[in-house]
Amino acid sequence: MEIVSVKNLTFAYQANPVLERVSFTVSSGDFIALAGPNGAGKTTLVRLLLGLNQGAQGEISLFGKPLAKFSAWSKIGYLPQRVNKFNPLFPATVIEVVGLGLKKRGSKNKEAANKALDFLGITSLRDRPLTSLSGGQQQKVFLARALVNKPELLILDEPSTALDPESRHSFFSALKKINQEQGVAIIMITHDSASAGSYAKKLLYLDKTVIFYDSFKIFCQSEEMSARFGGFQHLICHQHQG
Amino acid sequence: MEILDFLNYGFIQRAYLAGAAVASLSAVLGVILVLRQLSLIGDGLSHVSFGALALGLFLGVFPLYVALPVAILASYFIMVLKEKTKLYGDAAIAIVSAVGVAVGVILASLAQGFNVNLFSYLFGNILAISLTEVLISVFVSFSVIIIIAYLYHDILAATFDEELAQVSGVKVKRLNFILASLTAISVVLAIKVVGVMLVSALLVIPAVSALQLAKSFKNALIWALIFAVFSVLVGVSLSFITDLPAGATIVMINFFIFLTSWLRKYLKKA
Repeated sequence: MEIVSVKNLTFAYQANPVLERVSFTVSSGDFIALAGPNGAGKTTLVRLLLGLNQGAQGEISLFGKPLAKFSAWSKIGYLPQRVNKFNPLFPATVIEVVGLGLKKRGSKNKEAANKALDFLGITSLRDRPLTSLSGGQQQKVFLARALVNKPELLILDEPSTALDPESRHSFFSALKKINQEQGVAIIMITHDSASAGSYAKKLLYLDKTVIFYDSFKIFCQSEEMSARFGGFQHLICHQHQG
Repeated sequence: MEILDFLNYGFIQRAYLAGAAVASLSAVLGVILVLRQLSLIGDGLSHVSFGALALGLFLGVFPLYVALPVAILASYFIMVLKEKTKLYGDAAIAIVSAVGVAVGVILASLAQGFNVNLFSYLFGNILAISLTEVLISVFVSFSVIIIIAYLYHDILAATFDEELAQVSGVKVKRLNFILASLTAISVVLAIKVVGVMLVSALLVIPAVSALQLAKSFKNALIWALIFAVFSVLVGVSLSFITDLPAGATIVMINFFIFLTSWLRKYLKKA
């Protein structure tokens, strides 16, 4: 089932082109690594998908509905890049933060928040103030928040930046489990080629426009991509095969 | 006990009732505003209200009837100015605040006859509050708190992070307009309690004191409410006993509560 469809998306910021005629689709169960150089438009693309940036030309459809008419936001979980930039004075416990992702409050939903914590193995943090946690723990709390409505699509913006190697492994293992066991589609912006190659199934390489969008297998076998990317292809494909 | 005889006076009871209602409302809104880094909006709106009160007196209309719609419009204007011109929130507030005071001063200068009345709004006079004003304060405060309780989940989400809230389906723009209106209402009501000059203290200080102690958002709201009501009840009593101005006494009690809560946090950390 097609859950995201982007056609000829073009976006400029103060007359500077950021995205040019970007087109791609995402289906249920996809796990897509969204890669590209700095300034390639990755975060802008994600923000446009989520309706956080306005003023683009082209078409975006989510779950078969044009973005302007889409309202079933509980189907989408979002983990932004700046999770560690929240107001440090905010007096919130872990369970309060996870509960913020819920559409409405209620005892059933409270149960959903507890389940999300349980799924990520952080139930013991439930009543701790968010500010008392490490960067990796906070990242998991925000992932739990993104998962609390049992979304069908998870969008992650550079989720591994605050994680040490050990936390990174357990974080990506959790993502893989969500993708494989629950069929949740994942779009993950990443500069972490090793993790992208190890966990994602498809690569969407963006540099203002879509340079490559297909499975890692095809990317790794493509001589054209080898000529174009060289070291990047070697690194990402080495991890993928491993 | 003779010392407590003053509790039998009608004007003291009215001051307690209206003060507690307005303090509860200001405290709850204050926590939200402080966490959204909009602490100064109370100052800005009260200064705009000063201009509106002067306009009311100038036109011979009951001043608070003019102040309420003007304060609501000013709160929208601050939001639009902040959003459309990408100004920092405090810069938008500073502009509106300065214009409000300027209008008030110009009107007071033109009319010359109502400076005494305008002065009473500057510093508030809760001990002179009428029964009608008490009823309005209690009814409006109660209604606003019910609205906040109804929108609690959305308010909490948007206060924590507006963009994340938006992606969770919260209509953030609409919510911000509602909060701006409620803040304007709270400011206008609080003018009678502590006066234009000290309104922001009633919004900000109980909230900041509560944030020294609170471990959760709900906890912060409860502490802020307790501190604000306590400060009004003790402030009104002390003001009567010592013959000090009520508004300023309430603010000073709030300040001592803040010092105590901050000291407690500091000593706990040390």
